[in-house]
Amino acid sequence: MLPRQLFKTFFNLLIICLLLLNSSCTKPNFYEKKFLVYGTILEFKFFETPKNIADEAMENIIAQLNELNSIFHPWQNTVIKKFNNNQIANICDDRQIQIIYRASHYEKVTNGFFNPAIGALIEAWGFHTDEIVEKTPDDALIDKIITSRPSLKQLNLNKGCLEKVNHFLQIDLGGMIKGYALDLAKDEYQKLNIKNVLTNFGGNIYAHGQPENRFWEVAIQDPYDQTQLLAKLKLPPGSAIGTSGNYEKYFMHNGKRYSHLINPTNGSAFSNQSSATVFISPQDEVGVKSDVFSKPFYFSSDLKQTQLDMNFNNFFVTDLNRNIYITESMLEKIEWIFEEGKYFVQGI
Amino acid sequence: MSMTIYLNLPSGDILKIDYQNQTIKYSLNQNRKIKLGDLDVEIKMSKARVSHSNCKNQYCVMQGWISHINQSILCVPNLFKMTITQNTDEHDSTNY
Repeated sequence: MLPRQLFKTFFNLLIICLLLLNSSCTKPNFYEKKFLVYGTILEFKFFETPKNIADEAMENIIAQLNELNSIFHPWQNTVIKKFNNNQIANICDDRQIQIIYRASHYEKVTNGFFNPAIGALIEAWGFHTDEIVEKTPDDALIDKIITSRPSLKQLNLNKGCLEKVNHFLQIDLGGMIKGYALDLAKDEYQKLNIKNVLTNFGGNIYAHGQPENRFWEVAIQDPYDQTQLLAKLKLPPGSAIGTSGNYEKYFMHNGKRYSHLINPTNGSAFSNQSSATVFISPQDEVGVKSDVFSKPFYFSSDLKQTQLDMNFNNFFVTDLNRNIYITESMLEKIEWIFEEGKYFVQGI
Repeated sequence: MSMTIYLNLPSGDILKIDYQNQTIKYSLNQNRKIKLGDLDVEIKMSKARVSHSNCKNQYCVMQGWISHINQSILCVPNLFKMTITQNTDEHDSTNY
């Protein structure tokens, strides 16, 4: 080859390299994608996974999420909405019944703090809508719903179909569907033999495998300032993290913040806590647990007691006065990164 | 060419707005409409845009959506600038 040709080839290669210089080039083994599924952001970060297999997994997961939403979405024209409004009398589909039974199981495990039967309360507070507006509910209606003690226990199985016993019972799986989606994703990865991927669905994160020589690392958002970070945490393979916070869907009324997280015991949309974060070590249904286990701590007025009741240790809570209450085992796992003096950290 | 370079930049997670000598930051992990005087900013699916402005040339509106780090939109008549940035700390994902 002539020196001139060599130079030309080299120059062409240089141009190609410059054009390829992008995020995937600087981090060559990672493949990231983001989607919007029914108003919730779904993020994937694959490590050393063939692109076509990663694409197949994402496509299958999104198809399943769309199907779930088309059944369980609480304010679109779905089976659940019709059942909630008493337009249809029963639910007979086996898969739907199975999911409702899982929700019922977690209602029991959380002593009713995760209550998938309080759709009527969430609607009364005006949170069954895409755009939230300030709406103080009708106290009499809230009282009526609370007095009827809505619970999935008030569903009877009759000839293979679920029927309501309580007229005010409305199913809303909003408190577990993000976590449930993470478990669907986990099944999909196992099916396609995908080893390493981090999945974030609306803030709930499941770590499948790990990137080379390190764990997946996540940051936890500051509940007072969504542009700041509170802490960092390494997720061992198979673990998950979830947060319930008052800063995602809310409205302000007379200087108080009312959030879409409604306390099932008193029907209130106000809580003294601003967030509760749980870490779930590798186990079955790690995704659903990362979603529902934060609820009891978010609503709790006695964290020590709730910790004992739930027999669960890996959590911390932030309150409206910038206190953070954290267990010993959780403190071992996280690293605070908030500005010095911004929070007062105390043990539980 | 400049377009290619922008698209290849990593996406950001913060929208920083400078408006009439004030700086405000918003998370891109939300769907939200922000009203700043005669200017409307919209955040949707980790992107941001100026959806409405009273200015004459409408340059800021015509820029459309931005989502990559260091991309910005200016509206000089309204003393407005918005830029996509990122939390400086290294991590794989954010829990919220």
